[in-house]
Amino acid sequence: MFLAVANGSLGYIVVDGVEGLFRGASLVVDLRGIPMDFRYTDPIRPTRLERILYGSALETYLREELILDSLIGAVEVKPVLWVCRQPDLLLPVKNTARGKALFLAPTSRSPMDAAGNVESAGESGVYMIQADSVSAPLRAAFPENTREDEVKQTVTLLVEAAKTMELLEPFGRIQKALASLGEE
Amino acid sequence: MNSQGFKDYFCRHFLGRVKVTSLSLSMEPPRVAVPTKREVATHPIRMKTRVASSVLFVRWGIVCSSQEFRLGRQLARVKGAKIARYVLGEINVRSFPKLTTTIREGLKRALVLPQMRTNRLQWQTARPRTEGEMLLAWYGPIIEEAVTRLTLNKQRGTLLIWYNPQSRHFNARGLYLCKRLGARADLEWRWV
Repeated sequence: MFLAVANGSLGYIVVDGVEGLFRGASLVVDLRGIPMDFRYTDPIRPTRLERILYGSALETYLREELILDSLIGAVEVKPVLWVCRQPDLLLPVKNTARGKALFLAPTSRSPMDAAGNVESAGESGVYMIQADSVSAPLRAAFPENTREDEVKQTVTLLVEAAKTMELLEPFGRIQKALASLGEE
Repeated sequence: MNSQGFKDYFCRHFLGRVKVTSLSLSMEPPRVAVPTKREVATHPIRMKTRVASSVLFVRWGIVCSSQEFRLGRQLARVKGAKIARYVLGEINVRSFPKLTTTIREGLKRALVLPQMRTNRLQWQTARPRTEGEMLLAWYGPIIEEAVTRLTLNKQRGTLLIWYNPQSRHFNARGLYLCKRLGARADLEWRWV
């Protein structure tokens, strides 16, 4: 059991499009949060002509097909679970990575009784997960048609990971890395 | 009315019969003579002169690639058997470049970034109680044996952790920040 956890890894993926500038990054960490793989894209600023030609499909094409596909395809250490913080990325990440994917977000709810507790959030495939005993529950959304046993496996992985790392902390490092790249 | 007239009258009124007499045409329909043999004369309008494409595009032809096709500078106009050449200028038809991006590897960059822990003392239900000491913060989980450097961000109250990426330790612990009550008391760290 210990070895399986030690060999586990989580992949965090971010795709941003701010003020017409698109970029993305992925960070694969072990269950202590130590980086195993980090990839990022060069920023893409579509020209006026490209915005006209691609029309309303531009943002979807950039985010999902260009950035996401390229990032996931380039990652050499394939994680057990991909975590994203943008709900619209969940399904594209799952389809592109052909593996488990999860949308994870913080909440300000009071904690549940014990780590590992799961409650339905009232929407299909959305749960409140108490990953550890020292933080608020996390809001987790699974892709449609995720089986119950897959949800349980994922919750077990998150609870194991939360013993040795902060589950949402890697997103902060990705942002810092992208910010430092933007300053260069 | 003659006898035949009487006979017809009575036949029509009492027997319901009407005499029908046929009338034969005395004139034959005219004959129309249609010529059955007609000769169609054909006259070729195609020129005898043939111009091969290799003659038209002597030097370059049309340069094609996946990105563009280009006509030569010299175009040709065929007038009868004569080929008149004239320079039009080069015409380039280029395809629209596809949006692309480059993926860069940045593991070294990621390894130097510290992990951040926020103060979670508010969530700690079982706190150690020591006389004359005040708990200020709790940070965790932290792999103590893997830590190479810890820095407290006093402004934000966060703890920055640098791990040794080669470490094989996975044993997580918590770290309390305490302060002894009294004058000139320093901050203390305590692993639990």
